[in-house]
Amino acid sequence: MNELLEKLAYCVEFGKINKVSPFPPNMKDQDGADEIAKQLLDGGVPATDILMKGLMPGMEKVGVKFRENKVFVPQVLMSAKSMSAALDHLRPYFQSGEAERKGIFIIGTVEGDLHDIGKNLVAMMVEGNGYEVIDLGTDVKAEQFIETAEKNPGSVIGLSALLTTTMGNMEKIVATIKEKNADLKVCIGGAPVNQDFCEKIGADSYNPDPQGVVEFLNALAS
Amino acid sequence: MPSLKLHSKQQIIHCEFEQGESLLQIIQQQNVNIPAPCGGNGTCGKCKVKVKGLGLVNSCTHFPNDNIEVVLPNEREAKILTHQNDYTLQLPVQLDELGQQSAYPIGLGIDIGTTSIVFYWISLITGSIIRSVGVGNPQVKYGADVISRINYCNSKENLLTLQKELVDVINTQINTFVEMEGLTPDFLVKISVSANTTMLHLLAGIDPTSIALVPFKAQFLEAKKIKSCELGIVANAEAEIHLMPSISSYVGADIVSGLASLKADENIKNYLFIDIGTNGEMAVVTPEKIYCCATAAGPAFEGANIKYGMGAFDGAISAFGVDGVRTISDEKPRGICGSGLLDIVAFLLEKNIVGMEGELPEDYTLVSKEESANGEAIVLTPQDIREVQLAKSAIVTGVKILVQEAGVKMDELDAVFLAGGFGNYMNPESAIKIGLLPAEVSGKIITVGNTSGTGAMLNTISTKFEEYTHQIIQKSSLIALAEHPEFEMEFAMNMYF
Repeated sequence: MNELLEKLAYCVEFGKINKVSPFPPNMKDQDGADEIAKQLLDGGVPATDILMKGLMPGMEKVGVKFRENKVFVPQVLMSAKSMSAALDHLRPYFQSGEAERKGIFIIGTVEGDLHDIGKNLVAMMVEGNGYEVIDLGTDVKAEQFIETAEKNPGSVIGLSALLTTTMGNMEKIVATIKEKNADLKVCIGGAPVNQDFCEKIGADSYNPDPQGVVEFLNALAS
Repeated sequence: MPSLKLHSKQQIIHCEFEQGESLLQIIQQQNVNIPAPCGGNGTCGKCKVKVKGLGLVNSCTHFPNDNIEVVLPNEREAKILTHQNDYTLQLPVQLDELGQQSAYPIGLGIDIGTTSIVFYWISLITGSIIRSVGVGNPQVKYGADVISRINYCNSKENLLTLQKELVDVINTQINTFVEMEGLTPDFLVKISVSANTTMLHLLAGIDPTSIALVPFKAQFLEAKKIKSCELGIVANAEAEIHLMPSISSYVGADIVSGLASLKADENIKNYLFIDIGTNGEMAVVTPEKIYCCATAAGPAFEGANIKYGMGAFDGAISAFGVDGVRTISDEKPRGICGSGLLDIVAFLLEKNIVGMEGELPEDYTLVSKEESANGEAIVLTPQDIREVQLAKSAIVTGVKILVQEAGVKMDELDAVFLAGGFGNYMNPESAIKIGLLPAEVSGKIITVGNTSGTGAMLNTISTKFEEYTHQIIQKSSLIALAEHPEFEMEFAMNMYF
């Protein structure tokens, strides 16, 4: 079974979704993450092991390669889609409580902004690294973040913005969250955002790439 | 009469001259100061100017007989396009009442771009261009792009500051023109302005903030006619400023004006019109309808986000190939402009130095530090390639989705009209090689120059042009790319080369 777990990690790393997917070309007609996850479950491997020993190592490799500029958005997207295909099989086990995840991450693009490709990449990477992700979508107000966080104790909030015009809203949302509950952790990201801005608005973490968010969450969870 | 094209202080001045005059006299007649301490005796050499094709000459002892292009020393060349194309709509002069009453009516067409502004002075008797002048947009100091200008408008006072910058630069041009021509502002009877939606808001003094926030709605899109005195523009008191109509917040009057200024011939049924800048605006025109969209390409092709990127100024690498680099004005290379960037990436792909996934193992040296202008090697970095991938995918994804929405096939496009500055200088083959434009349009690309400016001129020349712009608006439907179900996947996959 270890071999199959390694194969799953490989599919996630190189973005092989399922057997019929033409991508990557050198894995044509081979089983993808979809089929392998099912085979593992059928073989009695616990969902938690599939997540921790199959999906997470694959996702981490992509995250690191993306940070080092060795792969780019399309590869990460394909990896995320592979991971997602495998996770679909695991979901019932998480819902029943039979398998556990590392924590809950609430993510959204801030009020006034509709851009979501970067946010989606982060959401998928975080999910692939063993967290439950609640994606509130785009144009999200402070109240929605707070409400969702209150319903999910221990969760961490992630804010995304692409437009310089909506950085002001990001600042307002962080202030509102912190005012309401100073213990809630908030991380921020997006093209116009940087470490200085993060410190200025009192957010807890800024990361230039998705892997950084995963590492921030891992540090909080440990 | 032969004509002079003069690059001076970020402006381009066009004028005609008499044979037998010295170049110094010709330039001075344009109100441009050139020091000539020896009084034009050809002895001090202080009046040197750069003549295209000849190099530096003493302007006082040079007597041109033919068309000539001159760059003043130590001044960067402003590359602004004024050229019209084979597909320009032709309209006879048709004046409003005020124009008909004037003995010598003058019109002004203005194209306000985010980075540069072009003024077209038109005789409303003949409908011909008297002079065209390009200047930088003075608002640049408040931010390079539209979003940062909007950001600056966080108070009424700042909005008025940006408006005043535009009004002042327009008045300066009007005053210079009337003085040069020996006229009074009374003769200026009509002004037409073509611009992106944000610039039109700023000129009208209307808060553009909503353009940059969900749901990205403009305060106005329709054509407006404002009395010159209301805006504080120096012209005939009855003269109106015509603000041309827009389609949406990000498909502005510049695109409407450009589309309306083109007259495709009978062989061109379906065509793509595209203007590539920080935002790529594009339209697929079919006999029945027009489908348009805007896509955020980012500023990579304008030199930003690229390590050695720069605008299209002297010393910028503007072309690249097996023969090496070519720079603007043949100066020592100091950076890379958009057209050069396309050529370089196309070359690296051709040589398999950059792979199909965009991977470049290490910096690629284009110019050694010995050969460069500032003693620093000019390289292309792996991150630069990523920026190009994002930019070109934004454009080509827009094109693919628009064509699909229009219900035509890519190879059914009969022509691609490439408008704007970048379009005019880039090598279409490189654009196709890197996938900025789809391979199917190879051989069908026609550069049409500054069509926004052409539209502003046409609107000034004829009251009938309003019907053309109105038709464009009627036929147009806007495609919201980001909401398109296939956008995200297409955008990611089109990043491959």
